[in-house]
Amino acid sequence: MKKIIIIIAAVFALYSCEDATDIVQPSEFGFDAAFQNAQDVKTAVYGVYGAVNSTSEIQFATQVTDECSLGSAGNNGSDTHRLQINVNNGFANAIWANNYAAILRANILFEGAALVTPTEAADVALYNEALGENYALRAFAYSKLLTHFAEDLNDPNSLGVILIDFVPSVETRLPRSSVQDVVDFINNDLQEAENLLTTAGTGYSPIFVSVDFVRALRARVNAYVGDYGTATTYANAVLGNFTLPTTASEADFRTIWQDVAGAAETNEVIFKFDNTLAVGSSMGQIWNTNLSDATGSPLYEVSRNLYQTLEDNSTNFGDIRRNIWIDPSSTIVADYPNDPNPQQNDRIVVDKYPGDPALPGLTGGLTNDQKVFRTVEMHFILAEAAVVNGDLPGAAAQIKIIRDARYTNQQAAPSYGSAQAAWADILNERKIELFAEGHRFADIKRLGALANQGYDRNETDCSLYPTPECDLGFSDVRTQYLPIPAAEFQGNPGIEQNPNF
Amino acid sequence: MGTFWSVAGRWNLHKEKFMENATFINSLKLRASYGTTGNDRISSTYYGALNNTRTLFGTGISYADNQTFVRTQLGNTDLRWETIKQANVGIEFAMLDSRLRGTLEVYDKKTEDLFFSRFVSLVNGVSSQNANLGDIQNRGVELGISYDVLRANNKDQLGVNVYANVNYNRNKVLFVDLPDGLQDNGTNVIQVGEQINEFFVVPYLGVNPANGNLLFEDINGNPTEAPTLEDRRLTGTDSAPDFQGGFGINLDYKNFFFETQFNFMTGLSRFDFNQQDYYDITSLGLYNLSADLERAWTPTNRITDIPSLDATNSDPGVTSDRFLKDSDFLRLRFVQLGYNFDQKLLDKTFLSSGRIYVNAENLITWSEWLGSDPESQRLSEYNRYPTPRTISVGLDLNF
Repeated sequence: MKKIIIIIAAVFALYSCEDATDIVQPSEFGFDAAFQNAQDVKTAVYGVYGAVNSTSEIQFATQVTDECSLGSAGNNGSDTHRLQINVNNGFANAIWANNYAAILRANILFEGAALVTPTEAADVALYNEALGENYALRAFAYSKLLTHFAEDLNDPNSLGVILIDFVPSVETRLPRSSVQDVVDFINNDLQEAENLLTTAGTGYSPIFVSVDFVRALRARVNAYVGDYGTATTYANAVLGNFTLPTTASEADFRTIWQDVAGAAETNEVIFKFDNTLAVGSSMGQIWNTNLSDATGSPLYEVSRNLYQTLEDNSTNFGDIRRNIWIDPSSTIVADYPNDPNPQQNDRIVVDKYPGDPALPGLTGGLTNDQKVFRTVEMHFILAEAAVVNGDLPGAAAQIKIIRDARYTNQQAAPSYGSAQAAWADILNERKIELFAEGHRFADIKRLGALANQGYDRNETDCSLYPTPECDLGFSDVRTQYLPIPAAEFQGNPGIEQNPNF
Repeated sequence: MGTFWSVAGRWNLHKEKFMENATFINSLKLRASYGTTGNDRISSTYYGALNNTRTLFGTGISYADNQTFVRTQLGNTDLRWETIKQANVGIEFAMLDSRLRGTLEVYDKKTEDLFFSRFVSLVNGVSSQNANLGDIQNRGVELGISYDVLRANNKDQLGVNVYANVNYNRNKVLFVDLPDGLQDNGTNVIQVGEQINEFFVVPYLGVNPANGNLLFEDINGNPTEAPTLEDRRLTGTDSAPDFQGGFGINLDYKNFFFETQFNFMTGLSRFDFNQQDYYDITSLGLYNLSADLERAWTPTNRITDIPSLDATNSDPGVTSDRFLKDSDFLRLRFVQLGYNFDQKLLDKTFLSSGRIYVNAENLITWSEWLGSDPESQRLSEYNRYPTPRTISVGLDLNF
């Protein structure tokens, strides 16, 4: 056996030192270090703003609805613009992920704030203000999720979205709550927000959450789900502080879109996200590559049908929006359907986000604040409420208030022969007024059936991309909701998908 | 730090008494080893995930240029070392006057607490987290053999050597630390009892003659134009080869020499994303596309393998096996024919040695793969040189 060569090597390495994974670097910033006083809570709330300040919803509405058509630099358009929407849709994923990331930050803030008990009066006010803002921003994130993913806003028992008011663990797998539960949650958050902001004595600011933000959001969400009683109450509360001009001034109105502070903005903008060169820049790139003129390589342009409406309004009523929504350098071909190269020759450039003249450089030319709540939306809500209450002249009166602020050649109030006619007129006016602000998807979703309208794209606009689909009726699910994204199914396989996806 | 150990041994069997009569065996060695190792090379780097056990915040500039802090890392307090337990048993042998030489090795490798990105609900603010996902087993056989068919004792005789090496590997998922024992990676899954990352897609049936749309098979076996995630199923294929190896023959005769080397892989599939792009009707008018689209479905050309250029479901959002292709191949990696100049002739010249040869690399590849290189593991071959076919003619002169 001595010839047997057996080499046995056994190495037992026994260490008494720490596991490498247990070594905490002094620079590591954990939960306890993060939330120590009221100022920390206030500091954290800016991160929630940052997460909620997303333009995915506006970009989605731009591409999917009939607001816009392909620009000269838009090639064959996105899958969303071609109406090829599936569980891997980038907007479905972004809107879902961004808003849940915002909700997570809000829930972390609540958990962190619970560790802090301020004592001095100034700290208490700061603390309450931050919590109030946090409730309002969480509600805003939920309102965006509800708008884009809820199965049917008019059916309280239909599928809403996941409700979560705690910091989840990786094991957390939650089902979707009903539309009603989500609305109740939002209303509850907004009530908390209003109470806290009132207690804290928070003043109005166009770029931070105020009581007016809270009420405007409450009016919108309740209108979206058909609770026009509540919506009317809060719309009127907001209109106590904001008033549309009674005559149209193109020069004044333009200052709103250039983010120049002044009377127009004070009257018309309830809340906007403040975008700076460092944070939130370049939302103009949703429509234009370089800058908002005909040489700026437009990606998505004003749709030919919307252009025609604006052009007719301008000719007949002196509608000031024609020259503000559409850049003056636009090249508009007369015979659009027969143009040999409509994508290149017809350039109707979106100029609603013309750049902030106070910001320098190319990026400044693409950077504007994101208008979230405007006075005009409250009048639309009152008009919708009037139709629901059978008060067609009341609805017409609200539409006249809006048009008087936009038409230099003022017109008599419209006369509606039926509720459907009133819905259609409201929807059309919303399409013009709220163009490129991310409303069109929600509007067809909730009002399309009432107005008997879907997406009405111009046939030549549709010829600019190679796939066949063009108009979508209001009953098509693609006008109703986005699919729950595939990424959520990977981590949460039990969640229920929207029908037809 | 983790604590790991190993043990190994070798037995030179040919030196044993009971082998003395087996004269045809020149050498026979049996070796075996067993051990554990930790994998510290995670997150694509050494010690990349050391603080992954802790939830951390980060500071930065956020809304309206205000300083803020946000959670940047969700801690996984359960994170453990990935451990590999491996047993090897091997035989080395030389026999028949050492004309037949080879090694045979069998291994069983078990990876426990596989470090992997685990998907989580997006309510966590992230879609995945580094975690110990489960246990994987790799079992395989490696065989290397070389045989001198004819041995040349002088240079006027023919010398022939053939050789081959083959590796067979099967992997199997033993445990997945998720509620359903399954992680859904989108187009593949990690599921208990199956191959790791086994493709998980909807079968593509072809073109619907009625309207030119694509037809898929739903989970109940019926044709559908609108497949969903629920219609995906296991395919039995993955992107790792079952068999791979090489073989060849070397000949020497007089002053001539001839060498070949073949490589092969079998049992692997890949998505041909280049073909998918060349068939993408949404790129019409934008890029050069495959001429196959000329066969596309039209009302007068209903029986075809190319869907209509107006198909409304060209991208159903659920991956099908339409572009999932076998990537098996056999390749003549290297072949060479040469001639060594006769030393007697050279002695009369200033040259000390010389030879002339012609050789080729990647001369022929047999594969059903349509792309430029079945051996490449890249997802797409844009802006890449394919593995070149090289033919060289050479003259070596030494003086």
